[in-house]
Amino acid sequence: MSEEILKALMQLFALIIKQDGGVEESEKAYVRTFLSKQLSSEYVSQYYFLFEQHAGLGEESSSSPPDAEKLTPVLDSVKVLGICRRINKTLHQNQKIVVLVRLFELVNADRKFTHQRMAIINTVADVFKVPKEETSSIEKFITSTKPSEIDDPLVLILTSQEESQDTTLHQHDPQETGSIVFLHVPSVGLYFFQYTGEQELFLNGLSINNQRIYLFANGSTIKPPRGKPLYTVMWSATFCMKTLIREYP
Amino acid sequence: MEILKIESTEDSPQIVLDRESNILEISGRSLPEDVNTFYEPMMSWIEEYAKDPLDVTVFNFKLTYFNTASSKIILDILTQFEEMIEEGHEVMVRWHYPEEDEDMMEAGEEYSEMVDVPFEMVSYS
Repeated sequence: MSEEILKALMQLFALIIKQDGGVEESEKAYVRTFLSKQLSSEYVSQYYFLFEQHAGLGEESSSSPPDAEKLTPVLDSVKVLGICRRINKTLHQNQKIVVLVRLFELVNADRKFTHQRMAIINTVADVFKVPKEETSSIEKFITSTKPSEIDDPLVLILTSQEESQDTTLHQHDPQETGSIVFLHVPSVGLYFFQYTGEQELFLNGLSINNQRIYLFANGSTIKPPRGKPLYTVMWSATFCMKTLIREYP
Repeated sequence: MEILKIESTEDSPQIVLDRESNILEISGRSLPEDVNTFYEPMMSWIEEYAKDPLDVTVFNFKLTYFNTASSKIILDILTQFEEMIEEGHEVMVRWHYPEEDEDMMEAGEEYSEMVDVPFEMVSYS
């Protein structure tokens, strides 16, 4: 990710989560983790400082109560538009979808889905020209408290649990209590997933965290503790089948 | 062209679009519940106006507050003006702001950097 885009993202992260009562510890932790996955440790502090500056951290007195009803300042709204226009000129559409996913994930870190914050994210999606139904599916996929129960045409769930909805596929593993939940973003051909269980799963050989959303990029493999690996191409075909079944029952 | 006049409410602005009297203005607070529905008549009017505009178009923004969704609509309006200028028409934006409201002034300046449309900043007390 380029320096320019990372700076823009820090500003965007800050502008979103400073609304409605201010920045929470879990949100700060999300930003740090996000940066540590993009940068070497020496640069993390530099970009995190940028985030703090834009979020106005340390400017307010700790004794002042958070103003939860405050409206989004007009300047913040216009700054968001400016950042999105810069991103529009630099990133491809699939990269913009990844940015949008990270914005939902950021707000999900403390589950503070206030009207002002969500209005900003929805405006970002609008400026990025993300189809509304995809934005809605992304939001549902990330913010649902029970991802394994999402009923959405762009979501598929791989589970060992007894389920009946048509978003569910079964795997036979009596020891597995969690599910792998996949999201398809058809406009850019991307797949994301999250894991709700407690066992150790590997994405391309690296252990995954069940609190995070992962991009399931072309050529990737998910290795469950037991059973066969899952490949991107399988899920691409599975989503196609699901679409066909839905459209031609 | 027919005059478009929408009266203000507590959460929505007053809109006056009158080609014959050369009055193109939006004023007040903009945080309507459904932004797209509210602004649809205005966007349609401007789209129609852009086909046969006045020799010089001066559009007055005199907002005291707008929410994030409204900020995108304002950008859409400015983008429409940008297209009119590219087609050879003369368009100017007057951005009015209360003299003590730095945020509103800076918001106008930010917009002026986003689009290739001349802005005149006008403070009022």
